[in-house]
Amino acid sequence: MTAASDSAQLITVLGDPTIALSWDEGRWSALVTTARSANLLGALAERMQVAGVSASRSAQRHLDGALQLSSRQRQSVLWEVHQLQRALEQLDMPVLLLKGAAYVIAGHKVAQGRLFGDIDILVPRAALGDVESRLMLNGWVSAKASSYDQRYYRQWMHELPPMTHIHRGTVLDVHHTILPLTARNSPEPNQIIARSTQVALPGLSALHIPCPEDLVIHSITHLVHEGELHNGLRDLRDIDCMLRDFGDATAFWERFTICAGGNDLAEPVHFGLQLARRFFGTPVPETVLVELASMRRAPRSSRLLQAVFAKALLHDNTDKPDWASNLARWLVYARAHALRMPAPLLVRHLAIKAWMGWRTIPSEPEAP
Amino acid sequence: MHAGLLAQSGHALMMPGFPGAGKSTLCASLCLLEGWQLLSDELAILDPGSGLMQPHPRPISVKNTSIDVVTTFPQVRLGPVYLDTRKGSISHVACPPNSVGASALAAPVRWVVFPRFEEGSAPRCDETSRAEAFALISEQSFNKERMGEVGFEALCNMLTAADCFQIVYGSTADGLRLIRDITQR
Repeated sequence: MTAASDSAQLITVLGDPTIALSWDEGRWSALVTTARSANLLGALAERMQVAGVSASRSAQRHLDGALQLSSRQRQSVLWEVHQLQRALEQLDMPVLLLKGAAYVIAGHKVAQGRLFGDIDILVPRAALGDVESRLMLNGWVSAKASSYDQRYYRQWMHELPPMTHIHRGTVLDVHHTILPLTARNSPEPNQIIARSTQVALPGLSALHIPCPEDLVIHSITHLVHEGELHNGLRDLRDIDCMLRDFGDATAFWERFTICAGGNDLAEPVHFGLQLARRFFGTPVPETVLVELASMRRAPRSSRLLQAVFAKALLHDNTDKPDWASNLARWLVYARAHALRMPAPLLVRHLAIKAWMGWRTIPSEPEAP
Repeated sequence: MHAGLLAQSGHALMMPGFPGAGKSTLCASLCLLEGWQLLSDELAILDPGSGLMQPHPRPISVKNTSIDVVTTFPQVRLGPVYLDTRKGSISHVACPPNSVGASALAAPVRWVVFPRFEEGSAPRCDETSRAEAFALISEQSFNKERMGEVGFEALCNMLTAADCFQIVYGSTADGLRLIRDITQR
């Protein structure tokens, strides 16, 4: 089987698990491997449980394990979020949860069975210093030690270097905007903060969730600017899931288009919607695509880029990607860097990283 | 969980092992000399749904002087000896055919025994509380964080149906006799 057919199979079963009812051990084994590689094993297990479909005995064990991990992660996200409330409540400002943590805390359908690694928050840039010191006082420490890395993140990126909790080992990404400061598009995070709503759960008053439109827009922006797509298919499914869920609400698409265009994100959002449609058949009104296309700053054909992403997003049931997938992934990686910063800055950054890497190579021990 | 696991007449004997406690040698002795079914010499898998231990029979890894001990067992099939590894000399005892054949037979834990081999020591057996056994097994769990409440409940239920002992022995014969005393009482 090819990556295309393995991924297509996975997407089909995620849509309707009952088609796999009579599958044999071999097909289940391939599906579980593909789903694990795409980080969609938990989502698959959840969908199957709801549909009342069981896998072969040994495949079901993997699915049960993923469900267990997902429910455990949900519990620990809830705990982490309470710790964030405790650490940051006295600053008296909104702390926005992004991506996985937001889906879980807002109780969105997309959180069911989702597996994730770290927690992302967004805070006003002006409060960054206070947030960082409050977090450090409460046990979060920066994982990137070198002063160049620290400066790189602070001066150019959209987030602080990842922070790790010294006791729990959990990783926290503190964002102050949603794209690198040096990126071509410059979204305004204050708009997202202003449109957010307070978490409805008791005892979490400092925490906010972006409005549904911004939640999807952020997820799309992240995917389209990401240089490594090993979670790409998972992220695309998040987008599909949310759009199916939110899309029927009154005037959702009008608000969605205004939020994306008003935040200088028409281009990536247009592209992301096309990808979601291509892979998951996401119902996107044609008028939305036309309107977003007209708002793009540099209108150009995205057909080639779509083909590259489509190739790079695929997963198969082996660990050996073919040359075309490798090339596509390299192109996505290179493009992400080109989007992230202007070329002279990128050259400078890569040169410094190379120099630092060379300096840390231990020299040959001298003979006694 | 990190433990040797054997079964006889549908009852499992679990031997959680701190490295060097002698559980592999005892596992090899029990399945080769006393006819126990080997479920695993180091990986005890508890299914939280059924509460049964899942067999996972693989070759038993034996180290250093244990290699000389198991070589004398009848019907033993020993792999090549690897010298000077991080753990000294290592060899592998093939899993007895009847254990491989029984690899679909899951069993509930009836006895938990913490073995400790001490050269020249007189044999001793003490019953131990389930709470203490719980704490010791938790330390030897690979996925207690991941299993959370489900794992906690499963381990509690497993121990409710088991008797727990700590044994100290100075020879294989003594170890086997202590296990026999526990499982035949």
